[in-house]
Amino acid sequence: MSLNVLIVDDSATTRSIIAKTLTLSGLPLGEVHHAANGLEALQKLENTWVDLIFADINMPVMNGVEMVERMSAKGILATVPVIVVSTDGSASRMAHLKEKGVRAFVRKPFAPETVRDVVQDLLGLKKGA
Amino acid sequence: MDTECCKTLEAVFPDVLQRVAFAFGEPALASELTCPEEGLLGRIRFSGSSRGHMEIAAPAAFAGEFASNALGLEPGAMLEPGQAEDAWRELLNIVCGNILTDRAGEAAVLDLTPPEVEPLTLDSWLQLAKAGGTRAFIVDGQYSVLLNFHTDIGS
Repeated sequence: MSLNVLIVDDSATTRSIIAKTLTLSGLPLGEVHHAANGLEALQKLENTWVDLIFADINMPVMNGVEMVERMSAKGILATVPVIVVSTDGSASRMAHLKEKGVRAFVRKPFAPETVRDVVQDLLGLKKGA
Repeated sequence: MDTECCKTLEAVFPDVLQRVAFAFGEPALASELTCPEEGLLGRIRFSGSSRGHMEIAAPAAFAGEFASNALGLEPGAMLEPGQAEDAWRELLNIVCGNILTDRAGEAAVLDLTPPEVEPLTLDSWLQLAKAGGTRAFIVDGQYSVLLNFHTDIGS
């Protein structure tokens, strides 16, 4: 099994840093897709299958919250979990995002092992697999 | 700047450098550092439970090295145009977010502006060096870095 992931962030460099961390995590990665904002991510999801989305919140054009709301409205959120990657440590903001359907949070900076554990827990993958 | 804030800056900045770019930062005295000939000045503002800004000044060479390490580039591989500045913005975002959470706690709600990066001038280096709220660091034994964290009075 390999995981196709979509990384959504307005900074190409940040997307590359997240992709590098995913590579180092030991997770069985398949294709890694990139989108610069929520709208681009939704367009990509129309013709690309992904297992998991890593998304920033603050982005131009369409932010992460609106992206999650639109995914929920289209029924995509039930099959494609979203992990928010952010520096924001606010508990109330995380609670708000969870209400919207965000499944997990990873706070920057994060180690490859952290993201591996979060993904394994979220997808029910066997640890060490 | 209070002692607790100094401790936070001196803990968070090296920790982020180490975790993102495998770089080693240690506190130094601002008066012992010299302004880099070619440098970058990054600035990010925050608002919400409190308001203020954070600035980081560093040699351009270090910004490039930070970007290369954060991106996991092979030694000698060239950065694409804008990548050093982009990585520097990400560093500002992560450092400021972590300082704010450390100081204000998880109950606080704070918003960060998009980080801005500009060429460093001698004037801005000197201003930053003598400003209250500035901590100095030597990174990887060779790069002089100033970090200023400022909270607006009354916020």
